[in-house]
Amino acid sequence: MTRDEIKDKVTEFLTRSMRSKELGENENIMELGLVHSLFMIQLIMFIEKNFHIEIDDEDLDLEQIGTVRDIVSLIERNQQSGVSL
Amino acid sequence: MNKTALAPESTAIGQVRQFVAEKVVPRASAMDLEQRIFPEVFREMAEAGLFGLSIPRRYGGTEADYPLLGALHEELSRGFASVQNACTVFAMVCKPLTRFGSEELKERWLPRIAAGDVIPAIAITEPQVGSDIAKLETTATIENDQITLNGTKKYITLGQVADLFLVFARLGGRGIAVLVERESPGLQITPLPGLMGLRGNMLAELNFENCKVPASHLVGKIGYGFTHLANYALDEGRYTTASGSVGLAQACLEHSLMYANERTQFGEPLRKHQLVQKMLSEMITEIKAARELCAAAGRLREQGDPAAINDTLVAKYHASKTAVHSADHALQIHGASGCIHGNPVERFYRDAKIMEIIEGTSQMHELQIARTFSL
Repeated sequence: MTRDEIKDKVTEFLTRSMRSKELGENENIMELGLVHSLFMIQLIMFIEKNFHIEIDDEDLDLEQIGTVRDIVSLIERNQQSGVSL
Repeated sequence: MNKTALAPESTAIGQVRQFVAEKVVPRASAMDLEQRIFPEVFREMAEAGLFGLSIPRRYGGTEADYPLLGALHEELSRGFASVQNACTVFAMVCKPLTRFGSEELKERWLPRIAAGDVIPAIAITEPQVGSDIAKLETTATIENDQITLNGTKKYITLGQVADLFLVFARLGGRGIAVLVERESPGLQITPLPGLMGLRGNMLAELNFENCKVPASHLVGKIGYGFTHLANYALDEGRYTTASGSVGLAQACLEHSLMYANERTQFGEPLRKHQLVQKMLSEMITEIKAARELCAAAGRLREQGDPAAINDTLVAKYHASKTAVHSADHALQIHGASGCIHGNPVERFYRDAKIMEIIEGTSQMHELQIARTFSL
């Protein structure tokens, strides 16, 4: 999957999960106040289902994955080195 | 049942139904009265593979998929909601442990939990903190690879008999989850008898006074306790509680149908009276709807669809209300005979109300459902 395809999927997930308007690649969802308490487990399910990888726990720090760009990079990193499901 | 592999779905459901009918139902009233699950029932549940439902096979579990897990919880609760809720607690510990725990912790604990050699419990609630878990007051410090816990946990299901607790605490302002063994120095356990419903669940208060555990007992990273592990556990608990609520409501319906056939008033069986028919019709309709909501949530959970989180909230909210409404109708249909201890309907009524409170009250579900829909 190309970076643009990953980005489209992540953007679609975030706007759906947060019932938000369109998100820019660098808009921080934490700063926008869009994150609800169940977001992190939704994100884990989303990544594992769509990209068939288990994200390393070290990478699941909410403060490090606040933007579309952050999440895309996280998926790309784990596709190269993470555990396949 | 085989402990390492579940039979095909319909067979497994039939086996658990038979297990419940033979091993649980005959003892339910006594266990409710004595406020405990008998040790032999724990053993038999373990032998039947019921404690391994949420544990992967590679760790000795029976690993039910979500639709089957829901169906089995429904069967358990039809017999005695306390044993169903005990299995919920097992799931709420084992799911986050499987997802976030170190390989060492998983290999050490999961096979023993699946075998029934270790009873787990989850310790979130505190005297001053219930739904607002981000405000937990139990503190943790870490020094020389040792964690020191201080604080109090309350209303901890299975706390009286648990061997292992998944404890949530605050470490320097960040949430953690840590496994604490019953015999850990500094942990004192006090039984909390007298719960209105789910009286078999052996609640306890846990007091941590400079309680020491190795830092290797941390489950997940520091900071993940509330945002990741607690929510992961509660989400799992909501799904099985939703299914358990359906089972409880189904038991109310079955007892009501039986009684409405047997009991005659004004020259006709109760089932011929239109106002009784109204209550039975409401129960039938609401239970069917609740079961379908659980099934829909189960399918999404099995697919790993993030929408499963919302659907699980909706299922638990509706199913627990259905249990309460069905128990209320069942008691009305039974009249005075349903209000006496020993008639299961009286227990259903008490148990149903607890379903609306555990893993988040109905009001917290209303708030969560609204938030996840950005209302």
